[in-house]
Amino acid sequence: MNTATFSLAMLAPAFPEIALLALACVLLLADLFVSGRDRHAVFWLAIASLLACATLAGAITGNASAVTFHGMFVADPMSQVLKVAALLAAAVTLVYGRTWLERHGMLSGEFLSLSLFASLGMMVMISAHHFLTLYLGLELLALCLYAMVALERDSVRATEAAMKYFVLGALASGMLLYGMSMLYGATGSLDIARVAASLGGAGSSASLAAFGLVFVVAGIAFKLGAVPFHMWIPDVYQGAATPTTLFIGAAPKIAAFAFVMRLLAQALGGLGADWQQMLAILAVASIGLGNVVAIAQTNLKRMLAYSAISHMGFLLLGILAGTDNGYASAMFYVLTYVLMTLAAFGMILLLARAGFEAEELEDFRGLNRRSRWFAFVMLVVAFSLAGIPPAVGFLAKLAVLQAAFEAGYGWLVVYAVVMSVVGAFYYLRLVKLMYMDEPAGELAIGGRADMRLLLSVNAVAVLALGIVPGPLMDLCARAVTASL
Amino acid sequence: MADSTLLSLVLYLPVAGMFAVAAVPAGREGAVRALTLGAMLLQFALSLVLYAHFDPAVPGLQAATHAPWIPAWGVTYSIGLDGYNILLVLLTTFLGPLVTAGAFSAITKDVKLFYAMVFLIQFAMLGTFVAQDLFLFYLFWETMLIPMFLMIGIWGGERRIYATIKFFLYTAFGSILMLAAVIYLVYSLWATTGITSFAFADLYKARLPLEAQQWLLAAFALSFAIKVPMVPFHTWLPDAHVEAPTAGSVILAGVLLKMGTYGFLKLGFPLFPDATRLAVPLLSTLAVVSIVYGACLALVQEDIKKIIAYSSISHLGYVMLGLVSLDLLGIQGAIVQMVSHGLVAAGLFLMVGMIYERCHTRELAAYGGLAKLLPVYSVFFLILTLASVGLPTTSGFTGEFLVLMGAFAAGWRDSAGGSSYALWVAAAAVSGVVLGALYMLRFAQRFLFGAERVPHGPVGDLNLREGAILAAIVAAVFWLGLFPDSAMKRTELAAREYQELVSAPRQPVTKLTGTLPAPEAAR
Amino acid sequence: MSIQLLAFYCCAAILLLAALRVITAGNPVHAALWLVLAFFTAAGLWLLLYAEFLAVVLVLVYVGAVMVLFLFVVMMLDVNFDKLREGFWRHAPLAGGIGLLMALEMALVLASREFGAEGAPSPGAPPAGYSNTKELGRIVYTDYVFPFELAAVVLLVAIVAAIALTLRRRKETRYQDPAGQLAATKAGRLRIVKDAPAGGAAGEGE
Repeated sequence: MNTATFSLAMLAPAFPEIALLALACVLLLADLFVSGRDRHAVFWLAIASLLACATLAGAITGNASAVTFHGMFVADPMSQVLKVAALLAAAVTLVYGRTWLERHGMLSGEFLSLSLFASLGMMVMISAHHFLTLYLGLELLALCLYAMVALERDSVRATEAAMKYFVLGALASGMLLYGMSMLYGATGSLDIARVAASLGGAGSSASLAAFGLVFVVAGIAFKLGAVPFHMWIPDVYQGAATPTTLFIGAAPKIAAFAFVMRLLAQALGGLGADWQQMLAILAVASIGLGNVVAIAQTNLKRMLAYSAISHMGFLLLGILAGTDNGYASAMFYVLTYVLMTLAAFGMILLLARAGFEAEELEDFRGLNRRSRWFAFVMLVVAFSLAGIPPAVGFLAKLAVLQAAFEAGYGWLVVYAVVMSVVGAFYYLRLVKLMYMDEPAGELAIGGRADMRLLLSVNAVAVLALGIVPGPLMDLCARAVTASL
Repeated sequence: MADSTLLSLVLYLPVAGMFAVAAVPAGREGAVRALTLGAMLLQFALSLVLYAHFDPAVPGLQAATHAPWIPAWGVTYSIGLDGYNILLVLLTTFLGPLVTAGAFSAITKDVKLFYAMVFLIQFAMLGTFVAQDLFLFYLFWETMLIPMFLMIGIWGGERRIYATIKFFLYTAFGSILMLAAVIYLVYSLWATTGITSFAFADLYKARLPLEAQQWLLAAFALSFAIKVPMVPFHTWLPDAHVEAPTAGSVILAGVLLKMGTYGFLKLGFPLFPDATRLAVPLLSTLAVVSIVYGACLALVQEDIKKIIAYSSISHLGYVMLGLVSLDLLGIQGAIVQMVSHGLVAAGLFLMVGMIYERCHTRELAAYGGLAKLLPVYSVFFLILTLASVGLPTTSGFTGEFLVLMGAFAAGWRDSAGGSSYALWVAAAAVSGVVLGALYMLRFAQRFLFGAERVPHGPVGDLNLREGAILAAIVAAVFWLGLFPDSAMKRTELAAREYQELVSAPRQPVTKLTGTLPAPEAAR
Repeated sequence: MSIQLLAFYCCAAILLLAALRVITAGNPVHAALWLVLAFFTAAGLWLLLYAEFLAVVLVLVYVGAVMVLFLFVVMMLDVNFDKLREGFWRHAPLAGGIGLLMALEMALVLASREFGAEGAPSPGAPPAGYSNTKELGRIVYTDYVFPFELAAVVLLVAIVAAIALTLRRRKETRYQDPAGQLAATKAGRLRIVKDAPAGGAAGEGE
């Protein structure tokens, strides 16, 4: 502790983060030297950066946890999987959003570098081993997202959404910080391992810790968008530019999952009995409200927002089980949810064209007539989100339900399955519009070849994972067991 | 070729067919139709081989394939034939080519998608029947919803959207509660025996306290009863039938409804025997109510599709009655009745479809004297009507007669034990036969005889394709009526096994004390 | 009661009052000034905890720089704060009820012994020669180097975001382009055409 010693071995676990930071700065500089026509070079640089860091993150660790930077940072199997997934999701988001961004003049170095910095924030959250790192990662991510929402300056809706997002996000951060400071008071440390160790010990104060926990859970619920802290989700999803919505709706969920895992499962595992009850309440409210209110929506982005709320409720079901099995199934849930969300918003972006956003449900009317394949893609996604086999959404739901059941939440399981039928209704309406109604016009579907190919692969993956879920499930189970 | 390979071939042929249809270039609708029919005929031929190879003397699974699938959950991929499903598999593959050929002229919109959906539904139905793992079963069970939803919704009648969403939500609601029950069941199997498994064979060993059995049976039964459908869960059926295209109605009546009764036979009752035995009075009452109520409603319908739809409710009541009689004859009768109803109802729906294509109305009042106008059509119609009524030499007779025998046997058995309720139930069920004769003969009389009139006449009689379809069905009806032995021989062991499973108590021997491994130690 | 405890209660009471006034003051300038007071008293609390460096930084940075900047912004932008506060009284009963409930719950929890002075005893005075500033400086670049760098990245993002959001060309605004103006030549602006005798009209310049 006396002298600063930095060796390569100390930095090694964080190579992916360091590389991403460097590449993001390179991109920021490179953007200054390209003229308007060569924006695509910058775009591909961003994609290459994300893929390179995903490769690095995937290759770097073995099966052990490496804690470095004086207990600030941990690279364990769980973080490895989640980082790769988050980076890939960010890259896919950019590919899907490229045409849209270009059309609206937003395919700029700013958007791309903010995406990279946001991804960096996610990685920091995923690898955090200290409340301070956790918080800084969260703020880094959130700040980028606020800016990305506001970047569409000419849209009043986007500006309003950015404002709401910022104010509520700041409030949530405040709550988190307050809760964390209480936990510091109770345990005398911000280090996750030390907090966990001292929680059961004599030196800690149980009611102070529980007091802090309430605020931490409230902050988490804000970030996840669980009812009753969900108010920002529909407005932000609807108001933000579609690529930004996709960016917010996909990769950060993985980081949020890691955030919950680090805070609740790892640091505050000793208070499990307390937070499980709180999460149960959040889950009940989210699953109920998300599914019921989604029925009334006519805007697809807003509908997907409420769907996201209910999906976060299901995610909480897995976490509140408080077992390795539950965490692993929650991890499986979040990974597959991100996959489905990418495809759903990818479809909106595919159908959008100049002066037409394709974000109303009506815009999908008669899609089957316009493109059989992409109607099928949307069908798979809709059924997967609804949790109908054989798409992967069903397995994910089953996994968390089974974990919650084993933890003794039988009533919650019955409630959740009943609500998921209610939820099936609005996805059905989408399918009905696509297949059973006549299109307004027989416009062919545009889109770049790379995007169409990726979207197809994405949908096939949703289907294939539903049939062969074994490997991914094992991966999640092994990652969770090795990391906790 | 080994039988297990053959079974996999039969099961996955529709998947291959689906891809093949998708690959046919747009506009080549004739090729799509020919390809589908060819694949379906091949599938039927292969399943006939399976049927012939099926050894009635061997208990348990034949032509089985087992492979690990999701090891973490103990889910296995396991399929196979046994006495429970052999006839239903044959029925499904038999109806496949008929449905395909029957839709040649009726479906002109989006032909490729239609036949892809026919393939998908065929795959899901076969999969549901041959699955020997609860997880796999559930997967196929739910997968079935998607193509049916699209089929009614895209190619259906005027109120198709309402009908298809009602169908979907009803069945989805039922099956989702079953999912919750499945989770509970698998968990308690693990908690009591330490085995994590979804395999039917393992689940039969789960010992559950009576109260748990009752809840689980209720959840399973709700799901299956909606599918059957039993009164009072039947209201989706008339809507779905009336609005579905002919092919949809045929699949629905021919095979899909049997999923419910098959579910009871294979899962609902044998998994929870103690609860089942307690619930027999309730279930048999509901079965008789379905028989009588369905028949009464069929009697007053003016829409010819609705008559057949309500008659389905009535006929499946017999199946339920046979299953809860717990008498060997009754059980076998129930299985035969499933197949018989599959054939007869499918035939009648096809015939309604044929006349609808010519006259574009389903109003019974619009028709009359078809016997003179369409003699060939009328002959087939009369045969199927009589089979539906249960005339001896047809399959309907075999099924209903055995079921009633079983119901009375159960009645005498119970009355020897001091309760005459089952006897009353059996007696009430007989009235269903009379009512059945009443509504079908009323239907045939107004339809075939009397003043000759058809809307949009003059109409031509059956063409060769239609004649061949109906001839095949009539042949099968007579085969099952005259030579039921071949079929019943194959189901006998299964019926016995079912009887034993449901009759033997299976509550926990002790109050889960030290004799059983504690859950933690087991894992 | 020791002098420290007295100072603590004074500072804490003023801090709470000031913070309350920040959100209830009608005039934004007043609110900002109340916030300045809140910062001062918070700095006082830090002094009581022997964290003199943080106390000084709080005053220098927040009061000296951030709040001054903020006041400039408030004065320059002419935001209609009354309009922002329109729905306040309509929602006040509900919000007040919820707030009261939360306050009660918190009071119940806080009433437990662990929140008393015994639960969190003062760490006491540091040893002689101990420099808060020095210690802070030492660990920021060693133990806390990772969060420190992260904070730097957050600031970088803030710069990028601020520039991206403000540096843009409004469609409706006209801009001068001095370089273009200087580079203009006669050849680029003027076209000389021969006057056609028949047409009689002069050629149009551009």
